[in-house]
Amino acid sequence: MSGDDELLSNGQQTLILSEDASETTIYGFRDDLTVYELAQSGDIPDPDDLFEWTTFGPTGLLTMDDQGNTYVGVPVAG
Amino acid sequence: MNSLSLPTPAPDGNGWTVVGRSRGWLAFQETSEDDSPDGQSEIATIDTSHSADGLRWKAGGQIKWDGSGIDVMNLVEGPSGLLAYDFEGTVCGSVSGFDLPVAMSADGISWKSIDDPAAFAQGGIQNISGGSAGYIATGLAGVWTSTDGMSWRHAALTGKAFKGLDGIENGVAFADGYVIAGQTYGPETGGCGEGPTLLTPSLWWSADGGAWTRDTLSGAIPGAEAWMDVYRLNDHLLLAGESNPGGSGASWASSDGRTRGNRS
Repeated sequence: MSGDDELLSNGQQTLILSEDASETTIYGFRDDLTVYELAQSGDIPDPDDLFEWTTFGPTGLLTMDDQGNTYVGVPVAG
Repeated sequence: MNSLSLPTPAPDGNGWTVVGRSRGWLAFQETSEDDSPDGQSEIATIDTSHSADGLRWKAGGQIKWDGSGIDVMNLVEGPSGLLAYDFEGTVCGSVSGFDLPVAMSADGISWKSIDDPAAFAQGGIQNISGGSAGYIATGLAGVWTSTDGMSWRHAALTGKAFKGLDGIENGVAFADGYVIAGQTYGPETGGCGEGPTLLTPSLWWSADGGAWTRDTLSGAIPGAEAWMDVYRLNDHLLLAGESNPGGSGASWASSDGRTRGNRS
C-alpha cells in the first residue's frame, strides 16, 4: 500500500482503493493475503468528479459524482 | 460500475456522507447548527438515512451533538451495534479541542449521542475500531476498550509488555479481542551504539482490554522513525504493517492477534 491508498471495509471484507490523478484502481485480497486488481467495466466515474467518499457495503461499492449521479460497483467473480 | 440517479430521500451530493457496513449503507448530513439553551455553545443536528442495497433509502433518526462542523466519516460495528464518529469534529467544551463526537445505534435507524464519555474527556482520540469482541479507541491520550460502546475502560499501558513504549498508532477489535500497534524504544541503539535508542515497530494483543501481551515479531526493523499500524480485514483476519524509512515495509497477517505470518 502507498500513502494514497485507502482500505474500504464492509465489516466482512476489505478492498484497497488506490487513487491517482487519472484513475482509481481497486484491489481485493486473496485468501493468502496477496492482492489482485479488480477489473472495472461499465460507467466508470472520473476520479476528478467524485466526492470524497467511496464506500463498500454488502452488495459492492457505492460512490457519487458532483452531478448527483450514484455509481454502484458490484464485484463479479472470474 | 453503473451510473444511477436515485430518487429522494437518497442522499444527494449536498453534504451527505455515505458509509458502508455489513448489512447496508448509512448516510449522514449536518443540517443545522443552533445555539444551545444557555447560549454558550452550538448544537449540531445530523440527519441520517439508511439503505439495505444502496439504491432504496429511508430517512432515519437525527443525531444531536454539542458542536459544529460535524462530518460523520467513520462507522464501526461491534457487539452492541453501530458507532459513528467524526474524529475531525470539534465538540464544545473540549479540553483539547479534539474530543470525539460519537453516536450509537443498535439498528442503524435510531441514534443516541454519547455525550462527553468520560473516556474521551481527555481528548486526543483519533481512531475507533469495532469487532465482535467489542470496541477500541486509540489516540494521543491512550487506549480505551468497551463491550457496549457506552462504558469505556482505560488500558494501563504499563508493565513489562510496554517497556520502552513511545506511542500507540492505532488499534483494532476483532473476534479474539483487541490488537494495538505502535513503537517502543530499544533494544537497538543508533549512532554507533551511543546515539538515541531506535524505535521498534510493535504489536500487543489482549483478550479483554485488561491484560496485554506484546507480540513477538520476526523481521521488524528498528529505526529512528519506525512505527506500526494494524488493519482489520475482517473479524478473523488482521494485517499489520511496518513503516520505516530505512526498513522493508514488511507486513504481518494474523487470525488470532498473537501468532503472525510474515507476508513480505
